[in-house]
Amino acid sequence: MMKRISLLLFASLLWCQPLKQPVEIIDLVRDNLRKLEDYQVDLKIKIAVPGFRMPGKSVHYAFKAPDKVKLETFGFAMVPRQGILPFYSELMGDSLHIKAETLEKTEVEGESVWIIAFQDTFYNEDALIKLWIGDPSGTILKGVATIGGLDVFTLTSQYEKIDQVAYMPVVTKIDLKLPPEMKTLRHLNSTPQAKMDIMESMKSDTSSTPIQGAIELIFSKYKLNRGIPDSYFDEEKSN
Amino acid sequence: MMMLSLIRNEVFKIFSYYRTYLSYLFIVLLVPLIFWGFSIGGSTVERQLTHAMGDQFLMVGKLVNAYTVSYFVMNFLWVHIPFLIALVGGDVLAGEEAAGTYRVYLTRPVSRLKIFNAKAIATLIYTLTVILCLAFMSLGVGAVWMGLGDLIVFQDGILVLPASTAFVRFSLAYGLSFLNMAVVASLAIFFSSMVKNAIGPVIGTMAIIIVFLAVSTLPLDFFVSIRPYFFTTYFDSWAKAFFDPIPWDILWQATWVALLHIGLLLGGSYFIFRRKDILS
Repeated sequence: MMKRISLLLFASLLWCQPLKQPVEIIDLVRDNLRKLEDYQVDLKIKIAVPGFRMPGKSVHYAFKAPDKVKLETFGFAMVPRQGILPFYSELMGDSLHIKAETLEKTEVEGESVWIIAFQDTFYNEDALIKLWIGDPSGTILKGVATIGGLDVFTLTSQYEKIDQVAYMPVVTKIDLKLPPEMKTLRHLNSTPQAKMDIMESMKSDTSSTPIQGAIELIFSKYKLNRGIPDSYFDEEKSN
Repeated sequence: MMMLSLIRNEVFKIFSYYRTYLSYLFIVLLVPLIFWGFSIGGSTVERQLTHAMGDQFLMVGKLVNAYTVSYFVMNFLWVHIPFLIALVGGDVLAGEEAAGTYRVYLTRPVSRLKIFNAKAIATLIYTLTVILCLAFMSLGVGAVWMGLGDLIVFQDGILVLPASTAFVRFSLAYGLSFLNMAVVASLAIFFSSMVKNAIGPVIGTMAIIIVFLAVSTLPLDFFVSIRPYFFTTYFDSWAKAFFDPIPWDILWQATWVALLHIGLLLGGSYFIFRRKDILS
């Protein structure tokens, strides 16, 4: 009987365990990212949004802490501002002014996952950002940015530990809600017949509701902490 | 052997007129001008792309390169190049009649079929050289001037295709363009077989193209239903060579429609040519 009671007590203690403080959860992410002095990675980017498609583009990405970035590609590429190192600037910035709140704890594939929420600037607007953070890996498994009640950005990532140094994303998928102005890009069609077809389809599509898009990033050939010189980032501005 | 001599003779005749060189001159002057225009200033496409997506995306590299400009240049295949093709095709039979050389030419012991075939093949050779000139000036000169890069085209907006696919897609596009221009040449020959001077066939060919193009693009129910029967409906088949994925079924249909038109128009031309009275 006593054994049962103590088991029940232990279980209820576990159940009632207080949620981790948001700062501790954010520190998990920071601890993982602080291991990065610099890194390089090859990206395969797929973008499909109404008005713009890039079925598969290779881009070489280099980063050096705190904020040096270089992108290289043959020809032309569009690279999402958010997604390569998800929410890096929001979480690593010195002037971290977020008032985060821990919402709940859950479990994903055997790992504890904390869900936190905070207000910050996203796409130059005030946004509510919700992150699913793995414990103890400090990986951002999911992130949602909500502006004006609309989930404008939903990111999901899979991670691997690279060179036993840090967890880095290997596949990231992003669902976007983009401004309706994107529709205007569809007019950039060259043939008269296609233009007429588009004008016809636009007649029934005059709403100002945002349009949806999807991005997939596949990361390969990570090189972590190899000591990239600053001069590498000064050579030919990449964006 | 006889046929080769006839074709050589017809090609020589075509290239002995100054107006034949107008098409090459047009291409040689205008294409570099377009490259120059692109090289000095950003395009509307870049501005619109930055405006619409600049908040969410970084842009890396150059949007405009030889492939992009060559793709734009191919829009001359709607009206400009057809006019230059009609200028030569319209003269190929009517010119002989106007100059009064039919009597000498057709009384030789060579069948009218062979003479007609030689004229038609020579006109198609000229058409092919115009397309090759356009391809060389766009891709060859463009590659030296602006360099190569991704293939940026339009399919329901902007589509960025890898440079590795450019050769196949441009070959396909120029091949389809040649077929479309061969239809124009055949139409010009058809009109040329009916009249005694070359101005009528040129105007007639262009009138047909412009009217058909206008009707092809009108989104009215009646015109939409008859659209598949116009050869101009398939004038944009070259643009579909840059779609992802390539719509092979549409391209095959465009090819068959073009071949059918060429066959019917040249068949009709030969029918008229064979019955041509050279005595009166």
